[in-house]
Amino acid sequence: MRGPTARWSGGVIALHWLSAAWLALVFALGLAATTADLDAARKFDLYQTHKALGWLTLVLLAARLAARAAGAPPPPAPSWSRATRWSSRFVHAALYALLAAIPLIGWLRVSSAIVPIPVSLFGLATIPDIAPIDGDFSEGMAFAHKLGAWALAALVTLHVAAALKHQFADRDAIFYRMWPRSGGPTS
Amino acid sequence: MTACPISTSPRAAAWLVAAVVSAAAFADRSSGAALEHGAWRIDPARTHIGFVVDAVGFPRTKGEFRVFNGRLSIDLDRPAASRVTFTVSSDSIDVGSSSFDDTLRGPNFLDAQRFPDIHFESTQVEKRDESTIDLTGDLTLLGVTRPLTVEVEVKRLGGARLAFVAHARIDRLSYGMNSGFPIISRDVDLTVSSEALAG
Repeated sequence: MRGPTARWSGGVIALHWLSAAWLALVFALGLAATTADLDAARKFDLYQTHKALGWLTLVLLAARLAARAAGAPPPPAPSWSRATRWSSRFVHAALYALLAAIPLIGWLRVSSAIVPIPVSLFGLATIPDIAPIDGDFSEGMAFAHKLGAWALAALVTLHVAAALKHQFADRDAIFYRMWPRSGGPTS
Repeated sequence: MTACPISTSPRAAAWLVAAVVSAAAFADRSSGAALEHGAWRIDPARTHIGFVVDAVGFPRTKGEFRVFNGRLSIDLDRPAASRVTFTVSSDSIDVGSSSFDDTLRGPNFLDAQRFPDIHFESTQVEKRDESTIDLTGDLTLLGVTRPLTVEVEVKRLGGARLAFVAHARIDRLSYGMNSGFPIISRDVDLTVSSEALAG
């Protein structure tokens, strides 16, 4: 129909799905670190792995934004209503905002924590702190980090639900724009 | 200081126990250093230097130090002249996670690079009752030396074997280890257990 412009670039698609899997892992690690009944050593390792992979989501996000900026995004489908366009735009903007804010807030939480345990990239590098030690501020950041993570989980649910609606209810094949293999009427 | 003869009298045994407990607690596991003069010998496989630290919102951290050595002199005629020294290698901390160990070795906690050793030197030995001894000495941690009293429980296991358990509570803040307080408790509970064999 629209040829290559109707799909996201290979780089954007690859980074999107890598990001999805990565975030699911980081979310699961964070949830386990804060709620699982484990001994101190296992809990420490879970926190440190969550912190390392979580910090790396910032790198992943930068790569995604670069890949996205490198090519023109596919245009909205002609069948979309104004409301659909705006809600799509809003949800995507909110997703990107949370993808940037949550790890940054986590980084602030770790940096300002009374217990000084910096982010370590698996012993290869230590990420510097970006805030002075402040217990109340750190606890506030921890709350915001958790709130942001659940907001992101809710938005991702909405994002997936919308993709499924487009695929199975609207049958507009929008889903294939982000699928590794092309298909459907727009391919 | 005199030699440390094997004695069968209960009084002498009690003092011997005091000394052995201290030595057992901090014996060199790798060499199995025993009491001087061969009177008693530490069982390195049954020697354990453990510690416990509490924190808010985090499980109780339990760990141990794996490298240590001790020296012991006993004067049965003048128990107060008995002497115990021991040294624990800060670097040998083990809490069951290499990443956690590295953090505890780091500058915020044990600062093992600047202060490789934790050192104890006895200044007084007092018998509390037939099975308990108070061992007082100076503990040097992070370059700060402060008095510390270790409570030692002694148990005869039968034959020529003795079991010892020593307890001490260390206020880490008084040694300048302030990181993480008050989320991480100021008290560190130290428990040293060991067994010694006669002959």
